Amino acid sequence: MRSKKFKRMFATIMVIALITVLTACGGNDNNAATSSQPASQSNEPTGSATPTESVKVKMLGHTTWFVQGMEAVIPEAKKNGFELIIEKVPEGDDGANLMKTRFATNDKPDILFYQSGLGAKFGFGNPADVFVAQDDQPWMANFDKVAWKNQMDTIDDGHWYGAPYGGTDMGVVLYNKKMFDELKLQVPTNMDEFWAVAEAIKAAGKTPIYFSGQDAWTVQLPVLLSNATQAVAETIPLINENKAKMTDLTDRKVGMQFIQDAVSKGYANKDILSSTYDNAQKALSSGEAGMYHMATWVMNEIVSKYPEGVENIGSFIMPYKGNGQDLAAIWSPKSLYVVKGDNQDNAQKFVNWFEQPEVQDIFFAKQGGIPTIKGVTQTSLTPAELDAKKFLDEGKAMGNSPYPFLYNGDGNLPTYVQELFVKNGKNPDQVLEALQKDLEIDAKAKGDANYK
Amino acid sequence: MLKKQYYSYWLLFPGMLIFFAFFVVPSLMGFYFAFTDLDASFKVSRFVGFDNFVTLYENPSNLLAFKNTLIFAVVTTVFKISLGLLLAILANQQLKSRLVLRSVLFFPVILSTIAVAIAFKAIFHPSTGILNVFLSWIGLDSLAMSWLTDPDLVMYSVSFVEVWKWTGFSMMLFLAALQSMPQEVTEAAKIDGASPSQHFRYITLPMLTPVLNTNVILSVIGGLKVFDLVYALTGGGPGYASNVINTAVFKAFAAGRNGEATAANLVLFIVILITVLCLNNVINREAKR
Repeated sequence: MRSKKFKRMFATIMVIALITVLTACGGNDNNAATSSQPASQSNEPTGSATPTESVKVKMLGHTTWFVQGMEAVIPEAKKNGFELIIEKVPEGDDGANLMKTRFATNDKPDILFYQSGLGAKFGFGNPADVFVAQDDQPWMANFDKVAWKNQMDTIDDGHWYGAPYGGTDMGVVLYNKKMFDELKLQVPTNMDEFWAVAEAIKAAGKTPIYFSGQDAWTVQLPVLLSNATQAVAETIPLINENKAKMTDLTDRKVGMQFIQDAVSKGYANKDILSSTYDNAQKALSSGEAGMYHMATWVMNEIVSKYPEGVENIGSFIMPYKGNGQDLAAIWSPKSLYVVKGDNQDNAQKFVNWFEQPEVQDIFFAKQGGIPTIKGVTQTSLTPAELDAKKFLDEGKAMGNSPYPFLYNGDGNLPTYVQELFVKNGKNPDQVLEALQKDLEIDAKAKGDANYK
Repeated sequence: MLKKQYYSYWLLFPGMLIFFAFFVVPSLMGFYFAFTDLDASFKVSRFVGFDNFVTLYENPSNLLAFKNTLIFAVVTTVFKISLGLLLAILANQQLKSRLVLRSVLFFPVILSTIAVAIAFKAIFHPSTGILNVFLSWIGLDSLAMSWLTDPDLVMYSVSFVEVWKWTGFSMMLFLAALQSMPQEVTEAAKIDGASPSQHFRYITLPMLTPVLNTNVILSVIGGLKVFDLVYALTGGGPGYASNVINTAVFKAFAAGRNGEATAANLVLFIVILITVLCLNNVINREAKR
């Protein structure tokens, strides 16, 4: 009798223990049921991607990436049977770190919104393992692979994992045209003219150059603008093979020196390290500040937060070299990445639907940015973006990092550039040396024979 | 004679299974990963020996993170304990406002760390923050500082916020101990003619030793493990000026160098273990005297 009771109790305990452990281990293992069929074979053609019943698609991206354009697309997506569940994380490194942590802990979305050209070094894992390759997807018919080579594909394996999201952005100097007109200033074409403009703005009691140092990622812009050169494009492949060093990127040093000069000459705003990206937008659009080194993506935010200032903002190429030799730094559009997992087929259907020119029209009718997909007819570019578009049309543009780094040598660039502003911080040479050291650590960690 | 009934050892099984599955095994795996090149996708391709530790040591920002963590742990522990004790004694007095006083002093503890960080970010702003505005208003412009952007000051500013937030917790532990002290001892000391300072030195303080021990250890562990407050307040900046061990760990994980991150975690674990063992030993030895 007693033995029977014990057996029953033991069996009950074992069942409870087993259920507890299995429940805990079950988790969100999106990879567990990855389809063995190639994604390209399991999806319908672009034009016919209209599911009969509503499917849920979980998305993850930075907060400000889901503004006017996506807001206009969401109701259309719903009509076409896609229920979009969008999770937003903060901007910059903070948000990116959160997203990477989510991937590292296998708590993944169905679609990741991130920068283009994701490779293994970005911290989301090996793209081939994590994302569905887009090479043969129907939307690719409207995409110029040649133009975006080295920018939107991954150098890890040459595949295209990202589908374009939003427009192309260009790194330029955004300036307050109204202020320039009132002070009778011309757009500078060399550094002497640039400093003369800054002096005139300072003399008028305004801030000539605005740095938003609290948001570290923003202060790397002057450096990235100086980085858009042919010399850098030729040096990075050599760095990837350890035949050159980060310290050889002398064009990059020009941008860092500019930052220190702007501060030492008294042309920068007060409290740089306490000034935010939002402060900069407000200062530029209100005419409190004259110039802000940023990419055109900021215009989306200015349109929604400070619309009264939008028409007053124009853009020009930072004249580091002068004599028309400078180029605007070009950014790939952002990308949507279909994450491998249970819901990858639905996620892919959404991407194919979203990349159709008619859907892109809905997007770009409400949001700035230069479309990447061919056949888009509706755009709503601001004056600053129209100025920048001219540089692109004239061929005066190059990738802000004109060739991808094989290793993560640039991950800490914002923090190092922030140190250019700090008392007893780094100087440009020390920043380049620190970047070289980071790159070597990453290359060695990845077991590259060239870096042993 | 009645036979003594014991529960079967089998009853320990579910609890032990969970303990092993979710604590012992992950901890041991963490120790192992610290010696590997574990990457962002949690794949190990080779055993790297002490390379991760060498990388940690060779990186100046990591050394600064260790220094900052120690500064933070020491400064916050000293102030949280001393202020907590003073406030507990104050809140233990027969004041009409003592209940309100206790609630007010404990209030910061229940606030969200992120909310506190956002509030202090605004308070510490160099030109628009209420602190510098107030200092200028009373003519003390020279004391108006860049509280969160001066590399020499930032760790002390962050420590101040931690002390402001957690002193109430320390106070509550001391207050609970003070209120459970037997009245007979206090009365006997009074009859023997002990002055207030003698009463504090020879009666109150020795009887508070167990709580003091707990308070110090909790505070030191909390200080060494700090992350949320620093990350929300400064993000480890400006530059690396307020980087602490856990922000360095977070950044290493984010960069996909998971082996290096687990190595830093292992070092932190060892530092905490040694510190707590030493402290426990010292405080207990003092208590036995």
